[in-house]
Amino acid sequence: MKNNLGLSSMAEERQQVNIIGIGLVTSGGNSVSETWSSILAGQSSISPVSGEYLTKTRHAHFMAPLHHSIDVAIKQATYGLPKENPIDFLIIGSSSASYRAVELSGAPILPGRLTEQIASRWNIIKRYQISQACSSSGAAISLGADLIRLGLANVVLAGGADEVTQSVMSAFEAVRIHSEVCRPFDLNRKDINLGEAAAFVLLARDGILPPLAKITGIGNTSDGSDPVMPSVAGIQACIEQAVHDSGNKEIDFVIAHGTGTQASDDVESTAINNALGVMRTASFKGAIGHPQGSSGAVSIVLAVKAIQEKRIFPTVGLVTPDPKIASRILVSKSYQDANLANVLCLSFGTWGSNSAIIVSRKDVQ
Amino acid sequence: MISKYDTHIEPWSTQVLSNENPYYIMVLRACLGALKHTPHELRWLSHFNTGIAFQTQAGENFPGIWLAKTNVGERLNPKSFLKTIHSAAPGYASIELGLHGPTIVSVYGDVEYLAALQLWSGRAKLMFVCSAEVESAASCFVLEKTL
Repeated sequence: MKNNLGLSSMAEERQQVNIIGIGLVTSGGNSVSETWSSILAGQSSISPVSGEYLTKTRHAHFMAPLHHSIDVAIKQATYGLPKENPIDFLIIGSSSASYRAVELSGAPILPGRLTEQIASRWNIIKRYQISQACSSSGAAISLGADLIRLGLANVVLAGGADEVTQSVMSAFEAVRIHSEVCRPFDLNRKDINLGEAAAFVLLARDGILPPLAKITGIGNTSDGSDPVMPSVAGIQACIEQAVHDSGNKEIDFVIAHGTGTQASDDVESTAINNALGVMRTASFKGAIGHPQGSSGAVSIVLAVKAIQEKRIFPTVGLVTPDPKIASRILVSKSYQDANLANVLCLSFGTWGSNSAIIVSRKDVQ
Repeated sequence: MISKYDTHIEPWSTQVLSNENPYYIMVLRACLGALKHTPHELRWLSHFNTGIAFQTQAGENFPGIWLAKTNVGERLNPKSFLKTIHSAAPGYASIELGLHGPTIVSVYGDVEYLAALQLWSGRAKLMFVCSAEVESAASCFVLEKTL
């Protein structure tokens, strides 16, 4: 099989990538089902925050300490893993790892310490930490899937975790995109709300545990155009790469990056439309805020849940859909029943790194 | 493992920081230096879906820059914010070189392996593999998929 570069994608040799465990801690709940129920009910768990580094009160959510949340999410994801199948790799995507610790202690702590500590606690020898802004965990999971596909690992624990810190709040304040209420794809959308999350998936080759779902397509591109403004061409190429990688599977539902900024929602909806046509799309960022580097991992966990529950979750915060966007993608204020086979999860980072991952129902060939 | 897929490592290039050569410029110059040792030209990079794999431990003093400002209640300059993200330097190099392939930024673990994964998966044909620290040096080599 040749890809769009004319290169052999090694499809002939590659292993199936099963998702055999999922774990999630967000402001919406301390488990996958709690968060899922909260989003499905249309609840927003974002609350007011103020501070001298903010020009006015903003909204975000602070949850339990990062390490605790990560441990809880990993415990959920690895539940039932047989002892004779150790985890070969830990790959964590995080854009602001350890910064709260830096703020509290005032001492410089290298970001990689997060992964070092987590991997030591969970006794995983091979470890990576990816830090490329909001696409960190999308990239981490795609690397984990590559390791399984190429036969370089049997079991990989991959995901993301990020927290809201004073530094991060002030940074988003600096670029003037930190809003009071996040309304993805809405006519009156303004900007983002920051959030926190720890989300992990346990990936494995066939024969370890029965799959919950599987990863069938991966796209990873760079815009190469602007540090801040996302590019239609870059995102579209990323989606097309993932779809091609999956063997041109038909996408049923897109979990968008959907940050709720004017520019990003506009560009993303255009790219989705260009690549896939008018597609059912949702964003979770009005419900639990923007969990920064863990966005991609949260999307994948929610995609597994959407496939299992046969439901498309609502875009919380959406009141009046932007007509321009509504002509390109289908967004809804309430949940919809749908038998989903292939769900596309998107995440994009500042400086133009894009990630697209296709999660498929376990019986899809 | 690299030889299994016949991935070719090109000669590397190193650039050292100076006042005239800030962090992200240093990374770009290292990339350009490495490219000179390959048979490829800048204009071909997009055709090969060239990506960049980047490794740093500290990045550009993040979040120290933000804390210094926020402690005195001063609003940050957006440019300061953008430069402190770990993917800023490889992002800058991507923009300057017109790269549209994968970006991988590692703050823990060997990035060479992750770059090789991008080639083996067929997602890119060329990868710049760079590492850089502030007040130190930037080094870069080019990985090419030859099968």
